[in-house]
Amino acid sequence: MSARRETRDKIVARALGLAALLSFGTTFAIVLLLLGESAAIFAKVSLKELLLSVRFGPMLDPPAYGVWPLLAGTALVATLGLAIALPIALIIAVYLSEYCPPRIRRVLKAALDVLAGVPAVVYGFVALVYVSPFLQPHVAEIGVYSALAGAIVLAAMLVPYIASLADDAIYAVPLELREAGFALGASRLSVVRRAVLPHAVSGVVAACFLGVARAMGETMIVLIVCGLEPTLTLDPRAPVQTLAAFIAQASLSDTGGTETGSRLMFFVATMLFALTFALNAISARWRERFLRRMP
Amino acid sequence: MTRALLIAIALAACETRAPIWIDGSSTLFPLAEAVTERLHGEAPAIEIVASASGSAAGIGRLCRGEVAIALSSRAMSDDERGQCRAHAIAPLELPIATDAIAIAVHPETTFVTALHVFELREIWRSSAEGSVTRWHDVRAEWPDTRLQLYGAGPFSGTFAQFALVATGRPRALRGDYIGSEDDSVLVRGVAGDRRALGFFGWSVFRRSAASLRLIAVDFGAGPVLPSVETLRDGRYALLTRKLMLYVDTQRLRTPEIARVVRRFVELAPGQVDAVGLTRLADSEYARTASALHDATLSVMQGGGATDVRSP
Repeated sequence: MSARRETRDKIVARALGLAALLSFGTTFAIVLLLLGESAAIFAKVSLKELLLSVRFGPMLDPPAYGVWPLLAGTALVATLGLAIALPIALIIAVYLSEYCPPRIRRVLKAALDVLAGVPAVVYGFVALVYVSPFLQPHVAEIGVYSALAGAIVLAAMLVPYIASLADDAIYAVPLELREAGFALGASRLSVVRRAVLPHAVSGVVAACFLGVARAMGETMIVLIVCGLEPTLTLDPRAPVQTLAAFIAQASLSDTGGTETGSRLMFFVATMLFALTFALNAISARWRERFLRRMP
Repeated sequence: MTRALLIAIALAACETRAPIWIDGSSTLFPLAEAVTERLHGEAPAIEIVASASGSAAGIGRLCRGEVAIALSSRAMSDDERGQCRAHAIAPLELPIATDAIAIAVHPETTFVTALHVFELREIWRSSAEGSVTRWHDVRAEWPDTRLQLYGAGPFSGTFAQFALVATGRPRALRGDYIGSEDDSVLVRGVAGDRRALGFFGWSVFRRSAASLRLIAVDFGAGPVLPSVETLRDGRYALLTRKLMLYVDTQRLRTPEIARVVRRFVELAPGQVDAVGLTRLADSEYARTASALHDATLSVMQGGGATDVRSP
C-alpha cells in the first residue's frame, strides 16, 4: 500500500516537474529564436547603423535602420504614462489599505482587478474618440495622433494595475508599526507618511517597474492613437512609433515578407524582450528587498 | 450508417465553404467589397474573404500562393514577377478601374489652394526630414506653424506612385510622416488636424469630401484638381494610376474562382462610381474581359499557363 503511494507520489512529482520545465523551456526557446533570427540582420545592416543612425525607415530609399526613434518613442510613452499613473495609483493604494473600511476595500479591490482586465483595444478606441478631441483645444500644436493621448490612456490602464500591486505592499506592512505611531500621538496621515510608506517603498518601486515593463510592451493603444511616425523626439505632442507597435504594424503590413524586414522585426523584438526582462528583474530585486524587511 | 452519412455531408459542406482569399490595395478594397456583396447575393455558397494590406502585401501573398486574387494600385515590379516565378505562379493582370492621388488639407486650412510639383518634392524628399517641418519652410508667405504630414504607408501602391512623381524614385520619401495602409487613419488625421497635409487615393477623398479640402497640383501648366474630366484628358495624368486585379492563372481551373474573377470584371464598371473610383474606357474593359476569357480557356484546356501581361 505504502509502496504504491510512494510510486504515485513520484509520478506526480515528475509530471509537475515536467510542466515546470515546459515553461522554462518555452522562455529559453524564445530567447534562442530571438537571438538567432536577429543576429542574422548583421549580414545586411551593421550594428553601427542600427545603434548610431537617428533615422528609421526600413522600406524607404535609402533604407534607414536606426532604432533610436523607436526607443525614444517607447520611453516617452511609457514614462509619461507612468508619471500620470503613479500619483493616482499611490493615492488609491494608500486609501485602500489605510483609510478604507474592509467591506468597501473588498469591493474596490475587485473593481480594480476588473479594470485591469479591460482589453487594451477598448482603451485605444476611447483614446481616439474621446481623449484626442479633448486634448486638441487645450494643447497647442497637437494632432489627432500623439504620444500624450496614448500616454494618458496608458495611464488609465496602469492605474488599477499599479494601485493593486502597491496596495498589496502597503497592506503587508505590520500593524504594530502603525500602532506604535498612534501610541506616540501621531496623526493617521503622518503614520502613513513617516512609518508605513517608507517601509513599503521597495514594494511600491517593484510595482512601478512592473508597470513600466507592461507599458513598454503595450501595443494596441499606441497602434491606434500614437501615429506610428518614427521620428526621434521627446515632445509629448508629437506622433511617435514604439518598438512593440512597429512589430505589430510590420507584421500586419507584411514586412515579414522581405528578408531584412523580418530580421529587423526579430531584432526589435529582442530589444523589447531585453528591456522588459531587465525591468522585470529590477522589479524582482526590489520585491525581494521589500520581503526581507518584512518580519 | 447515419454517422457515415453525416461525415459525408460535413465534408461536402467543407468543400463548398473553402473561402476564396482576396488581399491587396486599400484603394481597390471598397470595390472588392461592393462586388463581393453582389456575388454573395448571386452565389451564397461561395465564401470570399477580402482584406486590405496594401498592394505590395497583396502581390507578395499572391506570389507565395496564399491568396487567389491580389488587388493592386500599380503594375507588378520585375522583382515581384521573379518571386511569382520562383513559386511557379503565373499572375494574370486585369485592369479594372483608375484612380488619382489626391493632396488634401484640413477644411479650415484656406491659405493653400495649389502646390507645384517641385514643392511636393521639396516637402517629401528624404533630405527634407527635419528641415521642412513648418508651412513657412515651403512658401515664405505661409504661416510659421508646424507642417504635419500624413500619407499612404510604404506598403501601398499609392506610396510608390506618389514617391515616383514627387521624388523620381519609388521609395525615396522622407520617413517622418504619419503613414498608414489604412485610409481611414489618414482621413481621421487630416480631418482633425489644422496643420495637416496628406496624400491618399482620390476615391478616399471623395468618400469623405465634406471633412477635407482638396489641393490642386501644378504639373507645370497651371494648377489642376483631380476630376473625372482631368483624369480622362490626362491633365492630372502624372498622379493617376490604373488599378488592377492579379489572379493566379492556375487557380482559374477552380470553377468558383473563375466565376468570382469573371463576375468581378463584369460587375466592376457598374460599381466603380459608387466607391469613388473612375471608369476605364470601354475598350479597356473589353480587353480585360477577353484577356481573362483567353486565360481561363487555355487553363481549362490544360495549357501550361505562362506569365501573362495585359496588352
